[in-house]
Amino acid sequence: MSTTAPKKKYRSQKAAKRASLAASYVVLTILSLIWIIPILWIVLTAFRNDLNESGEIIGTVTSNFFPNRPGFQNFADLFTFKMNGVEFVFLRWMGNTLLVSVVCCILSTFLILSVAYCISKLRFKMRKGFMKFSMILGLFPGFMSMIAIYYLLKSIGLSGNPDNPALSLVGLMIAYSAGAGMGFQVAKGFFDVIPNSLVESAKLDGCTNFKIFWKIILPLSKPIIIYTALMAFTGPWMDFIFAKVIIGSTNTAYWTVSVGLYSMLYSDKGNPDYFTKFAAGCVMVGIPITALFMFLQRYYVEGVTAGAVKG
Amino acid sequence: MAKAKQIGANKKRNWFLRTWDNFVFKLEEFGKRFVDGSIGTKLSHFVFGAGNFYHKQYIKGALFLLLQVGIILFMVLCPSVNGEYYGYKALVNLALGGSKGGEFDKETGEQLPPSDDKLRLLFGLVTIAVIVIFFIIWLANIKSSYKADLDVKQGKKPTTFIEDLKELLDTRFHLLMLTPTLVAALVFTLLPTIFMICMAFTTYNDFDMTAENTTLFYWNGVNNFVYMFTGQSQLGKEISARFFPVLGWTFLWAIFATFTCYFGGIILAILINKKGLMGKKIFRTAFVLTIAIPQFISLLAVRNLFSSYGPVNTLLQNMGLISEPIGFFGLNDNDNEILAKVMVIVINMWLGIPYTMLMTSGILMNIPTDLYEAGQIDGASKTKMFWKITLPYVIFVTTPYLIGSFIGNINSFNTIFLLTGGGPTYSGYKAGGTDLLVTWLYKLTIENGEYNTGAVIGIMTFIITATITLITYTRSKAYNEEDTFQ
Amino acid sequence: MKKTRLLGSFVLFGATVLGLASCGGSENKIVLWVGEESYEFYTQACKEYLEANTDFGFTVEVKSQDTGTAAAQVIADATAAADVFTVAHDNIGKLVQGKYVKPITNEELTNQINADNPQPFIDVAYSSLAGEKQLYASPYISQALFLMYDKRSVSDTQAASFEGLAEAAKAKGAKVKGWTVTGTDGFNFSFTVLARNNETKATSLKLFEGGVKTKGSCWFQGDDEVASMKWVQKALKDPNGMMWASDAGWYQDIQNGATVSVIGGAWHFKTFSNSVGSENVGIAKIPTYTLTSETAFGTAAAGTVMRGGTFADCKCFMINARSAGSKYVAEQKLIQYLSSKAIQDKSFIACNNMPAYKGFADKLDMIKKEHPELSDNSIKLARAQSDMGEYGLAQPFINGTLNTYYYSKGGPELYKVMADQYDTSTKKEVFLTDADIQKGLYRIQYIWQHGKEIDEKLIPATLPAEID
Repeated sequence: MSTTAPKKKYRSQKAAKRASLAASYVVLTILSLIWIIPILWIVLTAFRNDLNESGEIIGTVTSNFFPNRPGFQNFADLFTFKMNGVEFVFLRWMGNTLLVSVVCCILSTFLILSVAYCISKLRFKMRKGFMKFSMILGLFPGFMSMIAIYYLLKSIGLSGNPDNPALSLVGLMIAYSAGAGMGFQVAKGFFDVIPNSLVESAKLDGCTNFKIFWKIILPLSKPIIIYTALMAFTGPWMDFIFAKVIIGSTNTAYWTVSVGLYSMLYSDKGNPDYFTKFAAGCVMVGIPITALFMFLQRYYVEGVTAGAVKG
Repeated sequence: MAKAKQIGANKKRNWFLRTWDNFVFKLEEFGKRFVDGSIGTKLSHFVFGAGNFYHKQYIKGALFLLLQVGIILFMVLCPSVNGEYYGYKALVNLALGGSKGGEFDKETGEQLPPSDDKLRLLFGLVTIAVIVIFFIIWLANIKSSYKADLDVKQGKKPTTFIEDLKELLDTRFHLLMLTPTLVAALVFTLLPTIFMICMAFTTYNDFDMTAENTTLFYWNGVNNFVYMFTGQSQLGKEISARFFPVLGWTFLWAIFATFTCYFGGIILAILINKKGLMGKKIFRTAFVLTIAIPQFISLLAVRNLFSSYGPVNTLLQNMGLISEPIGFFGLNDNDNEILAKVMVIVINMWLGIPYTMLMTSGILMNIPTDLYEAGQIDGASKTKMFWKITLPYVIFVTTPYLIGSFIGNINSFNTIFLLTGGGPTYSGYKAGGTDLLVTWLYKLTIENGEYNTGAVIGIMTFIITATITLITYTRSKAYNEEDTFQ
Repeated sequence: MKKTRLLGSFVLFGATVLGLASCGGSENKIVLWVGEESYEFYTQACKEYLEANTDFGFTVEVKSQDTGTAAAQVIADATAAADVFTVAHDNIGKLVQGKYVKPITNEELTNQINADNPQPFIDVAYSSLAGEKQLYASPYISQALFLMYDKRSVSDTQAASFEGLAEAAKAKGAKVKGWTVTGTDGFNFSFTVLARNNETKATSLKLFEGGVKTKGSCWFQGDDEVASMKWVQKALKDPNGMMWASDAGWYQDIQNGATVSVIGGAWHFKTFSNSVGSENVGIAKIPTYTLTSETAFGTAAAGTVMRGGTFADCKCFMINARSAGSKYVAEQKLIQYLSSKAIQDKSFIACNNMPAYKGFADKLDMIKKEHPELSDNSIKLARAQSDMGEYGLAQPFINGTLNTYYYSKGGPELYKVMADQYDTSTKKEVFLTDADIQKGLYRIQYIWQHGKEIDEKLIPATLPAEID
């Protein structure tokens, strides 16, 4: 447009670029601080062993962000401690949750992938009907059906069973996994992107539908398998309402870790003094889940993207 | 049916006609099978599996017979669990409704535990489901026999059991794959949903259960709906006074929660993915933490961080900005409602933006490069390319996500429940200032035992969300042109 | 797929075996629910009982269940509930009426209950709601509201009156409040509802007097109640008066010095003690307040000294309706042991549970002598509760729902709105005049009697002098 030296223009462009980069750094740094602060606070609280005038540890929320007297007492308490007389078997809760989440992970992934494959790659009567059915069913608020699920499980002895409270963990696995197949949309989005020609040429070669699924589609679907499994695995670690109903408020030994943590603060068994212990528990739960998540982040992004674009 | 309602009167007629034709056709087929079928097929109408035995498909026949005998025994013998019956007794109980608790055993004279009305309703529904299944098996058994008839007519051998199984792996693969999900969904999703819907038509709530001279539950027709809209009972009056304000806030919340997270996420993704920016991974990790950490932990952390004597209030007081602690989340009755509303939306951004950011990052990497190349040839500036290419592309491909997250936000339970508990609270079962329909439902049912009223609101909520979803979904490209991408 | 399934069923199977292995059958097991605060004590007590009675024939499994929600749990799912459970006595009515419990038939236990307990507790233990009048509950813990204060800020004389508390608070700071309540529900915020004349110990309140529902047996618009309401309205406006617990909870309020005292029960004691430090704990009866010309009404004239009241509550053991045969017999034996005076004493020593039997307060000095390890606070706690008994009112039982009505259906909420003089839903100032207050109390009274709010059109222009 103009005849001024292109060098100057280039230089000013470069300066502008630098300025905008610098601005980005500033904005991003501030934002990431905002994002991290609450989490950092919980972690710091977990290590807080501040004392009151009488020399007792203050367990409630306090006004200081950083602990005055850091230490590991809260973590030690998690393993030895009794809450209002009820044994708080934190490790056992972790174990219960792990058991439930591993089983759920396997069952749900199996259900979700099989449904998603059918809907995406097979054409049959009632296919669209099934899609709409699943969508409509998903719109009912979940906890309204909680009571019915409790009684259904109870009538087969898998919940509210005074003789075998451990069976309610099996009930919980079933309750978590049973509805999983209805959440096939993300995986379907992923399968949709796999070219149909692949399926068709395999059919011409005489492959059965089962073989196509097992030998061709699944090996191509590592990201979505991992995504689905990750979601199914983390679910039981986060739910604190459903699990309490299914397992029952007196069966503390069979609680999952989120029921336990939530109850430490907000239930009749809880106490405001347990906040630092609660924080320690959160750190114990948060570390493995976050590590797993970070480790598998790539697949998660692929899954989210696939689900969003085609879901 | 639901779809037809949406699309308009014209198609609705067509849909009914279509369904009617279909029904007549099915009926004709049924008649034909009875008339044309072999003696075995005819017998199959009464004894399950008879046709299969006739065609020497013994395993299949035995399976059908077993199912028939099993279901009939179930209906007649009425197995009981926890003192409540299945079978025909369940149907009687379901129709008549309530019973009084604590009758005395005629033989031993011991007082029996009270019967449970929730079980009564549930077992009745299970029995109805079993009857429906019985009819489905009945039809399947006739069809199976008739198919064997046709095979014989055409000179083929009727399929063996092994062949049937093999078919499941190929042409009927979808049956094999979908059955576990369907069964699980019917038992643990559909049945409980119907259970909930039924409750809306009963007198069932925890208080009336123990009231004087009240049987456990009985059918109440549409009275619960009528009460709610005419405000005949005091509860109905309170509910109807709060329903529309809560509905309005639910929508406002869903709109704000969806769009703040959506555009916030896109902007953040663009910032992070800027060319030449170093430490992308570190920044991304910082943001992704809120997704990785279980939501109830991060929400409870925030709630306590902002509590009256928590760090935030103390800091603000020390800076002299406020003189008394602020109730950010409306946990006290007299807290500022607007502030609580703004806060939940802001905290929701904190939770939701990283999610959109990750997704958008994925999409940004996948934008077809030819689009940009074309832009470069046209001499478009970077800013222009962003506005004309990047943004429209991102928005275009994420529209289905946008719809999904809007619906998700309408039913967003955790954020409200853990942060504000619906507060600032109005008294009793009345909804609080930040209560969404879904958290209000929780208060009504789980906390206050008003199951019938809760079910009414649940149904209303469902009708609203289902309408929006069906309209947007059936008109979206993803649904109508789903094959074009493949 | 096969592998997945196999693995899945394997894990399921494993879990099932785990479950089956961990517990025996229920035939020979009695499940007992007790409040979580005394879970350890009763676990130990049952163990000792079984060791002493090897021919008992049943094992006992003790589980912790909040006494406040135990009844709700039993009603929600009786088959999943314990064989023997403890409830606060206001739940007896609805459990009996719903036939969720079995009567006590054992003669020894019946005699023990009748001999040991004060008359109000015996009255509520018997019920005729399920037909003929029978004994259903065995009281073993009594409880009442009292005052807990921070000794660093409040002197013992100041703790005797609400005016003193306000004065102590003022000394701490212009915005420090004198006292707070632990909750706004029907029980924890009942001290003004049940307030009495300090000298005569009389009140115009009638809460189904004599346990019957007749014309005039329920009366809430009396002069004492109106005056108390006016007083609490004023106290809430006073910068050094009363405060509701903040969103951070009353324990944080006291810990952070926003208030100097708390009105609560024994179940709040431990948390209170943690909040202020154990040596700073002060315990007293609920203080008095003197009516002024501003708060006086009718016969409750200016200068009258009132004292905050309490419900005199007890916790009782009850038997699940499904009990039968030898188990039913064994359960009653167990209850007889667990609610015996000796065990009640031990429970007091171990976990501050205030015994329910009559005459316990007289034994306090002796117990302190025998158990020097008991802290002074525990003794004071018992004294304060026993003293409050004089200002207490046993909760009434007309039918199973009465107490449900008292605690919910809008009654306590309306009372709080009246105290605040501010309706959060309409954002308007309300209950500013004496007439409005009377009308509000009339509405609450209607809820108590009918279990629902009165339709506004039905409120009479002139309130009746008696109500049926």
